[in-house]
Amino acid sequence: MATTPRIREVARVEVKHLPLRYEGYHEDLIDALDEITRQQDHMTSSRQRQELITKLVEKVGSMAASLGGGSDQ
Amino acid sequence: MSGMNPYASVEMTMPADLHPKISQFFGPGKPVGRMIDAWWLGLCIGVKHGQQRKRSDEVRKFADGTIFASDDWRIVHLELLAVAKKGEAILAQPRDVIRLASGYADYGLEWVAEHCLGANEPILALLNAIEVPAA
Amino acid sequence: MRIQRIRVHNFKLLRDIDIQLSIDPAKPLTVIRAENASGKTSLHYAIIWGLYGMDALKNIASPRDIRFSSKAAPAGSPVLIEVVLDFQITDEAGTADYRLTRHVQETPQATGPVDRGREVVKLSKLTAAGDKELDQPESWLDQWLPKRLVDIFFTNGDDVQKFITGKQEARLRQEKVHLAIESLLGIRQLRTAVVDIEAVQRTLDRKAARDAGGKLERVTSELEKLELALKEIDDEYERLTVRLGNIEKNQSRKTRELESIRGIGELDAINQEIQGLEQDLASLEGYRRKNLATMTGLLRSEALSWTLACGPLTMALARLDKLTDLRKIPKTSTQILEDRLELGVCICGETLDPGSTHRDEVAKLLAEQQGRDPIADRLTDLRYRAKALRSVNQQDFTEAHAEALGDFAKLADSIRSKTTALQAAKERRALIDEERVRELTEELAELDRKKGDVNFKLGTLDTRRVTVQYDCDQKREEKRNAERNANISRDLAVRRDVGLDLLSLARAVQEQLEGPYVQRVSNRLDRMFKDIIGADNGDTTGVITSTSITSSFDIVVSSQHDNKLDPDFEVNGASQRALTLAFVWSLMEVAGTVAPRFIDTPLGMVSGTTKERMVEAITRPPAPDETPYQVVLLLTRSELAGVEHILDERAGAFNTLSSSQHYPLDLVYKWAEDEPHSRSCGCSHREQCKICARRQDNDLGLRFREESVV
Repeated sequence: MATTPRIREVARVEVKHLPLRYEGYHEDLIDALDEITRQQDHMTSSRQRQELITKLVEKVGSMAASLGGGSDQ
Repeated sequence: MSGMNPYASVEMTMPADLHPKISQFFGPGKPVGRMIDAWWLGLCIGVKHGQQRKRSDEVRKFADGTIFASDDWRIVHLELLAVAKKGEAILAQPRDVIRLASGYADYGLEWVAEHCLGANEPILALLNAIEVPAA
Repeated sequence: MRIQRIRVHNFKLLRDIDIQLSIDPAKPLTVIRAENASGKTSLHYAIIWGLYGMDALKNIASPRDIRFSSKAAPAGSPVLIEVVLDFQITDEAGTADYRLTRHVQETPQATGPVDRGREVVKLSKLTAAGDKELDQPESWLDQWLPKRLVDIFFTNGDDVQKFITGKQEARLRQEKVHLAIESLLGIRQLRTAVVDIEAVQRTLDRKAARDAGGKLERVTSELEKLELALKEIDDEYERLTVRLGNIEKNQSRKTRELESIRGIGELDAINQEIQGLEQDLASLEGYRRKNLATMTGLLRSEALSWTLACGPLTMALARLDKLTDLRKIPKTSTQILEDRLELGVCICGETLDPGSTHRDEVAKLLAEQQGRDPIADRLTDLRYRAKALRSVNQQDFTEAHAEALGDFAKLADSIRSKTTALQAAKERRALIDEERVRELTEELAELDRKKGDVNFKLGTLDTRRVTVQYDCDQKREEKRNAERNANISRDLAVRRDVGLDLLSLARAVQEQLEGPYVQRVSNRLDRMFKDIIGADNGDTTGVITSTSITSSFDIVVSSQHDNKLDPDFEVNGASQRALTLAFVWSLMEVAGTVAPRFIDTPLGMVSGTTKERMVEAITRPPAPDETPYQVVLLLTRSELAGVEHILDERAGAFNTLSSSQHYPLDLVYKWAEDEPHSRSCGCSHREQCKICARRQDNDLGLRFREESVV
């Protein structure tokens, strides 16, 4: 458990303003944000951190692509 | 007889020990008045208190009797006082009149000196110390 | 994290310590009673070392100089130093038990530093199925109890006081406050996350543009440049706004100083007042002189003479009247007869012509009179003149006397009050430091110029921003059109959308935490601080009316009329401690951080009812919807005094630390071993045993515990 439980708590409220691209999308976004903030202390370089984000975005994105209705465009 | 001053040739004196004290406050250029005014106030105080001081051997002249010419009511008061205290005959001896008065004045001068010394405003101290009948 | 048990072996004088801590939310407090020099600081360091290793002790001493083993340990014999911490972690998945073990071998040398081996740290999850060792224990620990916040979780009374204050520059002073707020609420992490996600998003955009071909790639690159320019404008705007804020702060500080000087009054006005008072005094002095002259006149007046010598003078006059009646002195004055002869008219009206009988009569009478006793003549003369003077009225003197004295008193009063006013005005004038007024006025003018410059730049930026924003919007529109026409892979487009969603989420969470959550900490801090300080917060400059946390995360203490107090100089020691404790408690509650709050000697500068209220506030069990916590207080017997009843109720575990070196002066019983060391026992603040009994304990009425074995 992180010392910053409020991030998840607030994220759970704020995520409701975002589109639901597939069932469970919001939870995945929250988990991604949680992961990003929790891993920060172990990732000193921004390159490392951005790689993690890219990976997470790809993961959630592929879920959205396969399960959801596709892009906004 | 008015205008004639039988005391013109009499020397006015005060005790030598009081003179320097009194002359701090009275005299030419001093705040309270002339030496004769101090003497006269002393006289009045002595009379008021009914006290005389035994005339000291060492006296110091501060004026002569001509001084009375400027306030001739003082001659009247002086003589009335002499008559009251010693009877009419004393008027034939102006020196006796002055001696009698000086006895009272010497007492009163000591009182005057006491009240003036150490006072911020000697004149105020004196006026405050004088007992006046209620208005 | 809640620590259940601490075991320490061979750390300084702590040879074999085993301390149980309360993890009961209803009794969040653990009391460790320990007098000074009993091993409190060693215990504090042992826990920090156990959690974080040598690195965390670096700011206390250089690792080369640190020696963990007892000074009494002989050179050449290796000593195993070990700290074992059992703790509980509760998260959404439930509660789990963990054990952290850290040990190192040290061999004391005859001279120089000890020979220390490699630290070994082991973290295990304790499950019913057996212990499961975890990799990278440091990472886990940093997740639960970040090392950078170690001085929030483990502190001592003096550091608590220095947490917010510390007689340094305000910026430095509150750095710890900023760090604590940003770390515990997660604001720091979110800021970094937002920047990182933005970067990833730009990469995704570039990729999409490349996929779509020439036009879109160009438009995207242009848009990126515009967005960068917009960001630069915003950064510059923020920088200038901060600068403007500083200028304004500086300006208001200088204005306050100037006003405090001017508050004394304008120099010109004071000079005019002084001049007026001096003129008044001069004219009063004139009146006084006149008054004194009147008094002098009064003193030498005939009226005074009459008043003082009234008795004898009246008596003499009566006597003269009587003599006249007895005809001892003639009724007619020779003077009158002489005058009449000279005038040639008698008092009765008849002429006194020479040769007339009447004139002869009068001449005869005159001769008779003149022939009399010269004394009688003198008396006649005296009576004649005295009668003329008798009109002088005593009453007049009494009135004149009273009036002169009354006038003098009035004048003296006026002179006194004017003199006082003059003196005060001159003192006020002396207070006006004209040089400083000139300096401040110039500095303020300079600040005004600077403010003008900044405002001008801000205005320019505003204009530029509008232009760039417009260009950006146009370009975005252009990009959307280009995208529509282009053939971006659906996969990439979706990823970009997800990235954007993630960015929006991170920004929204950051905004919530920076705003409403910090405000919640602020409100809670204010309430708790007031609870502790109560009505008797007698600070030097006034009563503290509120405490709050600003939008830039500074703690601000205010007194009446919204004056800001400097926590370093205007808040007393007890209030400083209360402020820090209230801050840490409020922040951890709002942040939902479950971590131990371990304080060595917290009540050193606090006494009386404030002490009671402080202990009451920092040990109050959390409400069901509040964050559970654990507080460990290391207290001396004198700190315990007066709060025992609160500890009875709130403490779920008690321990006492004692040092063999306190025998025989303070300790009652000698321990079996001779070597100096510290030991723990389970005695509460109401108890004593063969380990911890001190000479004053019977006087304190402490119960003796037989079960403890030496």
